Amino acid sequence: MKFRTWGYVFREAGRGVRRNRQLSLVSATTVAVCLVMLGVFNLLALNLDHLALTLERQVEIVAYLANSVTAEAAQAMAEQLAAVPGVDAVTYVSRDEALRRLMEQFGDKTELLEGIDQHNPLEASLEISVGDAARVEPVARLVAELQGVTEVDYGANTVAKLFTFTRALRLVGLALVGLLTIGATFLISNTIRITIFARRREISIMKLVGATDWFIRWPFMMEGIIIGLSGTALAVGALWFGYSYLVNRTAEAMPFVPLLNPWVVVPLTAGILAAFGIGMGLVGSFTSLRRYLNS
Amino acid sequence: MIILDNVSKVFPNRVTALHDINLRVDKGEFVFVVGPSGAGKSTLTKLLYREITPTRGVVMVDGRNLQRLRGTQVALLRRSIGVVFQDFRLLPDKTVFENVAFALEVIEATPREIRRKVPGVLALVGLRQKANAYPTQLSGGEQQRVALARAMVNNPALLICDEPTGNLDPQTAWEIMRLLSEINALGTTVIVATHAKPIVNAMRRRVVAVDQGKILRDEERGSYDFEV
Repeated sequence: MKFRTWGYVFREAGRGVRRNRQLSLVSATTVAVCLVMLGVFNLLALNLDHLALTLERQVEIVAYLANSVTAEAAQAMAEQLAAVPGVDAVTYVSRDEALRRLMEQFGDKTELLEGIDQHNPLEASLEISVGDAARVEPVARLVAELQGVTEVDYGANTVAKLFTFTRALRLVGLALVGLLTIGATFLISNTIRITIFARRREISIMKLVGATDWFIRWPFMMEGIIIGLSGTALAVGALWFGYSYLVNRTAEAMPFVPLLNPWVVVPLTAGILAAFGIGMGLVGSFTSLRRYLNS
Repeated sequence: MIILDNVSKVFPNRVTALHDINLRVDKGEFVFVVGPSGAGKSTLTKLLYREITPTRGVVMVDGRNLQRLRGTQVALLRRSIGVVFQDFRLLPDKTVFENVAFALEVIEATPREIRRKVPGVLALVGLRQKANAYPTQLSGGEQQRVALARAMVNNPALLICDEPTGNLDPQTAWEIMRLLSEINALGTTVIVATHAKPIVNAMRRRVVAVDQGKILRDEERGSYDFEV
């Protein structure tokens, strides 16, 4: 196709969108809803992966101690563990210390924890830093055997649980997004069909006087792309504001949750969404073109 | 120009529209295809611009085997053929000039080409003064002239007319037929499917009579019916 023809393609596509203003809007909105879902799941998956990575890199083991273990006994255990090969340092965190830390994390929202110091529910613990990530697992196993240790927590352990959750989430997300994609594509296909119908006279003449198939098809495909991209723009806008807001609020209220920077993940997600949006537009218009044009 | 070799057309609803047709039309000929409604005249013309393909047999136009054509080749074939119908098929929201220009625009002609060719072909059909009128402002005969101009603007080697005067009064029909004769005189091969008996009889051109999907007669300087 000649370069000049693209002007015609855009003009005709724009005319088509204007002619079916309402249906185009409905289609674009459906695309947007679908893409917001896709984006939310994508952002969630990215953040969970990030969280998993952060946890995996942690070379700290926390051994919770039974309340019966005295401070002296705990100190002794700490010294004993410090001698284990691979262990860099061991810190004893008493129940009071644990409570103080919790209050610190809540910052100015300590009123939530009011009265908790009378019945401190926290356990004392030993925080064991391991120099080499590969040594975490064997050290953790050793610590678990010790008398008075109720539970051992370390990164890789949590990561395994997290992965199971992420996998389930991905499946649910995929199914949901899949259904919505079919719906949105169907709507686009219907919108394009109406444009084809409105222009059927022109199309028959175009075929008669020797316009190529691609010349005839492009305006309709461009119309599908415009609808798909409009939906994408809506979705990316919503995700950008929603996610930035979430990140800001989380940074204030729960600074220990490591969320990815919106400037990093939203553009990446936007790219995926745009590809999806354009794809839906193209598939939608193509199904209509195949059914109603090539007769 | 045109060779039909043992051509049959059976539609999906099992109606046999054409049965073993053999026809040869040379370059520059003027041919009437006559016969009652449903005889197969339209089917025959549709085969020529590849609106449909034959069930059996070979259709050759301008040295091209039409069944072998794919996508863009079909488009290119149609650029060398002009087609006119009974119902004109003009775009009501475009002026006369724009309707004719449309045929050039969609094959990606340059604006210069369009400005050069359209006035010429409008002059050929005698509608230069009506270039800015809309189809609804024109008489039936004038609308058919616009359709003819559109068909001729690419300077096709072959002009196919399917009942071109079916919607016109006898006087106007004569004008259109005279115009077709002029176009033919300029070198374009013209095929006219019609049942305008008086005109066919008066013009004494080649007549191919079709009935029930078969060619009954093929006569030089023929008439609509058998001569008694």
